[in-house]
Amino acid sequence: MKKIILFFSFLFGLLPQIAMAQRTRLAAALMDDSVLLTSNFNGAKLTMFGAVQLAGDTNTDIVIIIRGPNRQAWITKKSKIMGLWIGQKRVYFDAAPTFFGVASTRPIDEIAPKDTQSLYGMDALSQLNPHQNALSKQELEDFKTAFVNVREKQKLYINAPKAVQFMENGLFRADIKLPDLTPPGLYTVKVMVMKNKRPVDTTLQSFEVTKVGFERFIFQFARDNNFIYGLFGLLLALGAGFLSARLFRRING
Amino acid sequence: MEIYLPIAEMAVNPWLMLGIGLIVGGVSGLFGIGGGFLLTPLLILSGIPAPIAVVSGASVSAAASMSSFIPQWEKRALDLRLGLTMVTAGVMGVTIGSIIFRWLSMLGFAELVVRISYVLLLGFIGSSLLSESIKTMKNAKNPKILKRSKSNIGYLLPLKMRFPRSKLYISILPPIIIGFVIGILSAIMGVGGGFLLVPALIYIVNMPPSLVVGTSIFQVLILASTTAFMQSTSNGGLDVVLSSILIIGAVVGAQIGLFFGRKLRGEQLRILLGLVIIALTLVLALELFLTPKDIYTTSSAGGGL
Repeated sequence: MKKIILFFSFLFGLLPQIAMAQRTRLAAALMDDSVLLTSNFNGAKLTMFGAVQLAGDTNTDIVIIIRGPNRQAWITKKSKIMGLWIGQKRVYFDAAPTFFGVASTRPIDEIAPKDTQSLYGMDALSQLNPHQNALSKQELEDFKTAFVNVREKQKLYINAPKAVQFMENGLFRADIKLPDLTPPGLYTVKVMVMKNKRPVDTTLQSFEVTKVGFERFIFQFARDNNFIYGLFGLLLALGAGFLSARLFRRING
Repeated sequence: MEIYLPIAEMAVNPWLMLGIGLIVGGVSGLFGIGGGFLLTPLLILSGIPAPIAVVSGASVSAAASMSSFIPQWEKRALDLRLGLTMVTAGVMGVTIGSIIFRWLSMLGFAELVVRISYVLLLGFIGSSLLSESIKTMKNAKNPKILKRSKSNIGYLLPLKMRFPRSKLYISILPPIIIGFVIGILSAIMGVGGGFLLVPALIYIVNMPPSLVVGTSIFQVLILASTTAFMQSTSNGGLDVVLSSILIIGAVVGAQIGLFFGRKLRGEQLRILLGLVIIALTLVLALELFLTPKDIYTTSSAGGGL
């Protein structure tokens, strides 16, 4: 009985106070809410500012996860058949993030164990969704790891352990590079405050990567009127060939 | 400086692309071939997704061959009747070839068949072009020794037809079969087939050498245009920004190639073509034996391609 009274007094009296006192508050904002793919687009820098109201201990980390739109994808592995490199095996993914960036104050593996990372979607490997196939579990894991490696080489999957920097009074700043291959679509940015290997607060932001102007027009026209677009492409090729022949004949006399 | 490609969804260096176009156009103008067999691998090497590289290859072949076709047409340096015969058979060959290709891919043999036949075919053509023209060159000092051996199969087969421009009265079967086979091969191997056509016209059809380049370029023009249009409407892989840059390089290159082509003798041209084909064969053969740099390849960044 004593225990129960103690419990309730704790719950109704003390807990909210303790919780209020120890609550970690997070606020964050992106500098830009859109990235424009123009004709001279060669990658972009994404900047984010934020503040954490730290309570109690200061052993707090920030993890920022930037996730591009999901798309279908595949990976092919070449193999040797009778001494010749002609074989290939392909694994399809029903959904794979086109972009996946993890920016943090420290290496992510020091901030949270692997299973926590998978649970909160903090590693690219757990985000791949392979199509049904007849591969063994180990083989499938190899394909997934290889896919992540290729995307990391293309800078589409990024692990930036020092990209988030604390300034003062709990203010932080993060700079993340988007490569020229950045696919268009809606990107979500999840900011997590990590304490003792667990997330204690989180906010969600988003930004959009869009083609604009001429690039947008061509992309949409090609998709909506593929017959006219194909014809136009062919006429462009033949016209250029014809014009150059005429031009050079004049030059040659 | 980099330029963003709206369909490929990536940035490329326009000067590099212009240079690739120039080289491919030059080869096309010099030898009267489409150059697609060079362009597609070069684009894939520079990181362009394969479906876009294939369509660009056809589109640039169309432009380059148009550019070399016009002067040939104005000089009447082609046999239109023979060319049309072969083109008709060629378009049928492309249709049949696509069916065969789909069947091979279904069985999982497409890659194997394509790559091995590429190496064998190119190796054979390259080495026979080279050895034959070296023999001709040696014999040029000593004209009494026989001219190059030509096939007389066209005179033996039935269904003879007159081709006044080439001054030939031969069976229409060899041109039809050649056109058809090249159509099949170009559908399966994804190339225009100009490099196959030139030797075939010389050695099998016995066409006068002055008409070979014009007639071959005519066939390539029609086949490449058809392929470019069909592929860009069916898979939407045509990036007009990329192909415009490549085309500008290619048409200029084609004129430069034509200019040098006029200065060189037939044997010299054939030796050069033989060397280019043998070099390509070696690269392809090495790819079969050497461990590839990237064992894994993935779909394009934006997915879909």
